Amino acid sequence: MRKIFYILLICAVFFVPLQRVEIENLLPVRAIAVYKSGENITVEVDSGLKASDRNVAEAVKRIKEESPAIIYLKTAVYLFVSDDVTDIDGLDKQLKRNVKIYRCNASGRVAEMVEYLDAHGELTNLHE
Amino acid sequence: MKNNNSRMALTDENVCHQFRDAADFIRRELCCDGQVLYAYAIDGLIASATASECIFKPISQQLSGNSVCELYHSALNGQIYNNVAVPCDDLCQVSFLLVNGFCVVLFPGSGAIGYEVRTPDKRGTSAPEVENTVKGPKDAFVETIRSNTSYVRRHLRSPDLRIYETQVGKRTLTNVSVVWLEGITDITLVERMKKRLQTIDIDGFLSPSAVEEYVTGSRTTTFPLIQYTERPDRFSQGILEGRVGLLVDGLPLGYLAPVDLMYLMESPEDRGRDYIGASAVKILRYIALFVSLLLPAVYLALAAYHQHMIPYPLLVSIIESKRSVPFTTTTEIIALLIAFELLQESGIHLPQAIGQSVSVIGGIVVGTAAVEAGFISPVALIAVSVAGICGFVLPNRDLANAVRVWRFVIVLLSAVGGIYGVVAGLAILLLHLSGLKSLGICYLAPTGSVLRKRLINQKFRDEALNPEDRRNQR
Repeated sequence: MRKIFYILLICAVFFVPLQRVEIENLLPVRAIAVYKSGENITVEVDSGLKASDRNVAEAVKRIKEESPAIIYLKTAVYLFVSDDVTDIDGLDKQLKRNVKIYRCNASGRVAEMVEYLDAHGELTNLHE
Repeated sequence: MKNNNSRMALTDENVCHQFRDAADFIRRELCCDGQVLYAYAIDGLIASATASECIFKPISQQLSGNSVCELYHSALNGQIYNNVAVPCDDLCQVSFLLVNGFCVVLFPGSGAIGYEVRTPDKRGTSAPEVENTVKGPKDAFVETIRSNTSYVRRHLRSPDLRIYETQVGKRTLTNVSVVWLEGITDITLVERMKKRLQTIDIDGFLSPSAVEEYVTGSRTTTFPLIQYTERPDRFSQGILEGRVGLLVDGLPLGYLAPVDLMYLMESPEDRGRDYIGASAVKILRYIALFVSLLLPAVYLALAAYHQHMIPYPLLVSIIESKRSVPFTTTTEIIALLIAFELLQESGIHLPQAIGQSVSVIGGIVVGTAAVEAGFISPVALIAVSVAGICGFVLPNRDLANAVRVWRFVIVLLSAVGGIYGVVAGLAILLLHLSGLKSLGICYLAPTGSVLRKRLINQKFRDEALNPEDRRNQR
């Protein structure tokens, strides 16, 4: 009985739906900016990679496709969303629940924003 | 063999036939008051000077009688001054005494008498090599069982100390002693131990693994079901707690049973320092147990499947260190674990001085070179090394070896199922441990404590051992 249980437990491990990703292929993202550029919406990550499409979900998909590394959004701590963007569906599900969302007018230069945020603890010219 | 010997008559021819072609067999004819007697011994096992002075000289000069039968009785009644004189009436007993360092004198037609004239210890006692403590006693068991029982007697001067002796091994006839304290040890445990010894049917009982596997019932486990110690004080302490001791001739170790996991995590050093310090070190030891078992597997699971559980700065650092490494994290961890085991084995089989050099060269030089060459990532090396070092913290080598094996098992499960694999591995381990018993006592029985209690608070002995007298002190 005990042995059967061992075997079942080991077999169960093989059926766990996990996606294996080699850690060195990851490109962890710390901050993401979402802003409008013309009719499209642009999603930009702190490494400078960005992609535009008609909605956030498509832009995220495109940025992942176009990057040679695996864009890893789970590590994101800051999300800057431009005031004129109302809907971030498709992105919010890929982020951790405790991600800090900032509404702002600024666009682009995400890395500088994060740097500033780190230095001052918060962005003074933005409202949360 | 035993039955055949028992049937054979006790004659000079049969004794000589039994030890034919044995170069160390000594046979001597003695003339005593006109009668011919025969003396036998095994060279190297007896002290020749003692035999000459205490057996041959009195036989030749003092023993007198009209017949062999009279000589036999006067010898047995004290004319030959020797501490131990065992009358024998069959060939089997004579053979047994001879291989145990006795000199046997045959009185043809009347019987034989065995006189104990063993050689002294092959070596004197020395300080314990493995279980060394700063403040504890410095004596350790030796290879001679009688010396070992005397060490125990010196630590445990109780007239209630019982020593049951038997022989195990059809060919080796190894003397084995079961030691317990009457009035404290549960007699059921003693009977169980005796029964197990009686059921052992092997040619040789020489190696520690033979003792451990046969006495524990040879369960399919890597975990030790019997505690070994080279310290008579620790052995005596175990007896005082209500455990059964086992001493084997030829092994400089004492064994204690039953044991449980918590008992195996205790070190002799715990009783050599204050209880607060000892408790802190014990907690550290438990942490080391878990780190040693789980660290490589958890690192592998996080790096391969659950990167979101790694804090961002650490993740970036790990990724940077992994960029130039051509192997997957799984390959890296398993290869490093194997390399670590190889290093450990090479250190054991080499002389101490060279072994240390190999460990240093292997650990520092090769490890650093491998990281610099980009073959392995520093984080993987740190995870495996820390796990290995934590394994050395465990006080029982058999337990540490068991953890080494299970570390591999959990790493493999982790490679397949990430954290789920680690949890499955732990569940299997827990189930396995819960099914183990040492001399009928559950392996996970909470007999000990993670902390070292103050001695004045240890009023009672462990209940799981079912001691006859539970009270330890007032």
